[in-house]
Amino acid sequence: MSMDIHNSNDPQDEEMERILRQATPRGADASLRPRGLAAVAREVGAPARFRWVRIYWPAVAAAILLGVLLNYWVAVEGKERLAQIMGPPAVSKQAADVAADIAAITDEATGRWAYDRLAASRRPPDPFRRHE
Amino acid sequence: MENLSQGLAQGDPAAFAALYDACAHRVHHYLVVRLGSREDADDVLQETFVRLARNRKRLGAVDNVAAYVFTVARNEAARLARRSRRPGSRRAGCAGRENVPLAEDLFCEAGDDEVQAREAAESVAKALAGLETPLREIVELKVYAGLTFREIAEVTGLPQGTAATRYRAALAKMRTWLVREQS
Repeated sequence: MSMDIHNSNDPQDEEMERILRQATPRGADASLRPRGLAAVAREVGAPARFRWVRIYWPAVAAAILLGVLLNYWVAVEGKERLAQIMGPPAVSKQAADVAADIAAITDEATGRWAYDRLAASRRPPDPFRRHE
Repeated sequence: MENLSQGLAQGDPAAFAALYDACAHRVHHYLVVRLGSREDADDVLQETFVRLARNRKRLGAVDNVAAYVFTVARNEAARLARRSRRPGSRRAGCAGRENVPLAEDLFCEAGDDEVQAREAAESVAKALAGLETPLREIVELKVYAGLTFREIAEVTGLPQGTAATRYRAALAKMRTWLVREQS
């Protein structure tokens, strides 16, 4: 133990220290030493913590990536299926106005043709057409 | 001591046994006074050595292993006290210092047949309980753990001068209390 420069030589402090040291804290149970050292031996012999993370991290990363891709596929597929069930989304009012303007400038047939083209551009692709 | 550090870092059971024999007695004394329960002190001492074994690689670079052991023990004692303060804890009030520990939980002399020794132990327990935590901790580390002010500074993170000042303030306060008690 090193020299302590802050130690007081005050006799009153020394007397107080003597009184405190007269009280001996209760000792450890006799079985504590073998128990404690056995626990230490177990800990030293145990495999390092988080080793499984080092071993399995590629599998964990692959599972997360697969989860993200599946989520994307389900979202896209769901949207297409919804469009098949519910039909094409309604043509916007702006598209109808544009078709009306074209009909006013040209004729009704051209306006109808423009309206159909604008409506067709909003319709989802037909999955059966891809194979034709 | 350097050999001991290297042995500990390599997980040598003999090195841990040597460290246990060198420190455990003092650490246990400190923990009994700090936690107010021998059973809690037993648990924390064991947990301290398990933690040292778990983080043994660090021990190779430690200058003062004894002070390091006390630092780990102090942290473990604080952890136990925090756990005890949680609502519904099995140990609530035991290590959390909400209740003043009884002299017989702390000192051997409290169960002594000799009246004078028993009364002295009870007075010391009450005088310690009357101190504020920062003062009491320095007394625990200095008197019951037998650490130097340099080691106390290392364990608590306080400057050496502050630790010494707090120690003298604690002694003065306990002296005043004991004089008042006796009169």
